[in-house]
Amino acid sequence: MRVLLVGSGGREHTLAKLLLRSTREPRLYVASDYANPGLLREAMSSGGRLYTVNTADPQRVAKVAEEVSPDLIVVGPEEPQFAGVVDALRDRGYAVFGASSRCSLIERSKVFARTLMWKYGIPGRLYFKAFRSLEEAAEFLRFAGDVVVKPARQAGGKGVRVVRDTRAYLSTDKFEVKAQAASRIYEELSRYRDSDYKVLVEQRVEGVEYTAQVITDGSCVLPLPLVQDHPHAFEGDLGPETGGMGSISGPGVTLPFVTYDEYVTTGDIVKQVLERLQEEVGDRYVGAFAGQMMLTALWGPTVIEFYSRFGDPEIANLLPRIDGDFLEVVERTVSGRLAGAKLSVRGDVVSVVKAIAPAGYPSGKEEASGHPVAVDEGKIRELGCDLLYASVIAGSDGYLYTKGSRAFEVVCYADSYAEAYRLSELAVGYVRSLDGWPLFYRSDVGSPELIGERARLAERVRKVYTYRASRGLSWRTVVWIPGRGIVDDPLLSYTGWSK
Amino acid sequence: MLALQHRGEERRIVCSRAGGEVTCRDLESWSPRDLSVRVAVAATYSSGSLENLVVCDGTVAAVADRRSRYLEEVVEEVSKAVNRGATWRALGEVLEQFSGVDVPTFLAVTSRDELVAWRTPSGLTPLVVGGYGFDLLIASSESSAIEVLDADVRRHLGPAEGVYTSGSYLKFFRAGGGPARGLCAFELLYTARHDAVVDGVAVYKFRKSLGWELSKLLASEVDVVVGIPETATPYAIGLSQATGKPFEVAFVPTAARSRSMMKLDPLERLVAVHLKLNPVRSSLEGRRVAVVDDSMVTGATMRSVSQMLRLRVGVREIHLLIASPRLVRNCPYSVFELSQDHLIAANLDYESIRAYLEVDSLAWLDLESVERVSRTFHCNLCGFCLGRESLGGGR
Repeated sequence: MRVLLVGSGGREHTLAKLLLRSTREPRLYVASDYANPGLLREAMSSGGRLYTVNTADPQRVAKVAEEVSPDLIVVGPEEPQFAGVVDALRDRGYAVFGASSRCSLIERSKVFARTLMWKYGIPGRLYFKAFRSLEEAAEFLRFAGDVVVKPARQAGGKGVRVVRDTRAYLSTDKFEVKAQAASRIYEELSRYRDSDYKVLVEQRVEGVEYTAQVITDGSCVLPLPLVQDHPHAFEGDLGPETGGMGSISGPGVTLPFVTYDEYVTTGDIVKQVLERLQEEVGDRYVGAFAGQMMLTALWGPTVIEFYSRFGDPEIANLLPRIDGDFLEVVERTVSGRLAGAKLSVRGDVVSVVKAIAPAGYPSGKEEASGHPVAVDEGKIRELGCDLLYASVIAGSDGYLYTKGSRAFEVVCYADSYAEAYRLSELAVGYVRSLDGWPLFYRSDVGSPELIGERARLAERVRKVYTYRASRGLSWRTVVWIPGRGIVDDPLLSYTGWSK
Repeated sequence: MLALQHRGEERRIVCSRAGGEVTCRDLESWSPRDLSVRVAVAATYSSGSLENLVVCDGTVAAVADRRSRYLEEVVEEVSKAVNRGATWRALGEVLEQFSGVDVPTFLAVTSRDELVAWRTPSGLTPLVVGGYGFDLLIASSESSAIEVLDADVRRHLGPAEGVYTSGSYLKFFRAGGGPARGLCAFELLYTARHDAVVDGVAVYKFRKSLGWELSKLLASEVDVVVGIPETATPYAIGLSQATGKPFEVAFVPTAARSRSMMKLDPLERLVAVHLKLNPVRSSLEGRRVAVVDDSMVTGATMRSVSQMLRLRVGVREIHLLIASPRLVRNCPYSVFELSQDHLIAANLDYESIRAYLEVDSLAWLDLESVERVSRTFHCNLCGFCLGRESLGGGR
């Protein structure tokens, strides 16, 4: 069996490993933007090969497919989906696992995603307002209170500005921050031609984040265990937002700070969205889908955004946590027979994934690029951990060089977080810089302290949302504006009426 | 001025004679070292606009404790009398003409270095006279200011009572008549400092007694009692003593204390409120909390408090008790300049207020309790804004 995998990073390396576990001994071919050494090795060892190609170019990827003539194609990242790579491959008759460009709108356009939830009254939705022009956005922000300013289009998680504005003595300065964020986003998004809306202003919520990933063939939805990502670059949830610096999963299908009821509610939200999305765009959803969720005081499980693919590094947690033939599941998904698929979760196992990135990531990719690094993969394996190659390439001199983003991910597991954490901390030690350029990772990911902290925050939030629900206040935010009456617009500043 | 800044601190004004004329200046530009000044009147205001609060025509300068269009008329008449060379008795007769008119309590200085302090005949706002050694007479809205100056409180002036002095002569007098309205209830409920004695009533004791009354309204079991920053503390202590539930410090204020209710601009009011509200998490986390506030105007403060208690602190339940009756009418005497459509209790029903504030329960002190406590303290209060003309029924 020939499988073509499209994509270049740690997520695809995980997918490659999962697919190659199959008893059907597939040959793996990879269409990748660069020669990721991990992917290259997986491909070669299975008797396949790696093609270096612009993965967001439908024609080029289709050409690779023609050459490989695969039985199955798996498209990992979102940008090829947005660009129509999946569509082009399906048009040519290939069996493809991955959201079509129409279905991937759920990730590409946050305005579309939010509007869909409001249109069908799906729980877990947030108030938002979207703007095409910077002037409109700036004018609105003048009256906005506690908000998040986001790019209206998926832009690799960058540009999101959370402006907690609950202290009136800071509100004048915070307006400046909001306006500045809007103008940066506007600039950033002007290079994308596929989004009218540029700036999204959204109700700010706080709580515990987690990712709910599923696989779907369009009618059947196969839920995967919840994962918690750590988007901040640095320890203590400090620093800029990244693609994810590490993640944890387990035990069971949930996380230590998410209840089973919350897991079920989350699953319902994801299912409803998938159903409505397919109706709305008139296309079948085949592939992976994920809800980036947050447990909030407003709703309990609340949607922050959606992914039309597996999360990275979220997917890496599945390596040690699922049993069963992943390739078969993918195949059944593509042929619309997911209903009978078996994928069992190792409930007693918890996993800790950590990304290692060169200093400079995520804002200064240039300075973070081109640094020689070494990894002792044998030692990592001795610990029972896995190593994933991400943004790293092999130079002609045989050394590995950073490409500016997260270079490696280590995946460790055990029957307790204390142990999985200990192993992950040892594993990251086997990645080192050869030119003295600092590499960083988050030592707190998976630590019992951080998990305990999340649990306390979740408990606090849980108290509020259950109280609100008991009072019929779920999602409703009652704001009284003297002289005007009660309004239901939480985006308005508590001081908005005074300005 | 510091001792009275809780009554407003937007503008601080000093009026005194300089040369042949009296003038008024902002405190910042006034030199207290000028030893030729024998009499000065001063006031601190919550409003930047001094219209109808300070009047000065070169002969007489007066500072009043609330806006009134009659202040100008009074000053005009006193000024004419001074220019005629009138005696103190004649000045009293001038004031007499204003019987039945809503003149505010004021302090005036003349170009002859006289001081006239007069409490409004309706008795709405207080006036206290104190002395320091052999030298100094101090008249103030609040006894605390006199004590803070290390002087002694000598006399609480009653409605229509005043004091006149020219330095070589001093006389207490009574001028003007008409119906006594009673003391503004908010003087005892909110405005005065806890350490003040107003018309002979110890403010702290009065507030604690109302706190005891609050215990009857507490429908639900609580673990702790807290007061919303400083003004509600005695009520909360009263409630705590009545229920046997511990009183805890819930918030720590940042920087100088400032009276949020005195701010007219809503943003400024919230700035003042939020500066008072850094929560003490350890005293409240996971608890059922009785939150006591002295009054509720727009509810904006309470909403900030409840959001903070739930999201930042993580309390289990919030039971809000307001230590004064519902504010339902605006004050026609301009003691508080709040318009009726800004009074939450006058505009929203119980359920809407509860939903807006996100509290588990909510109760205002009832008029009967205030009536009862006022009677115990022998005071007669104006409760117009609370929906009742008079509370306590005379002394």
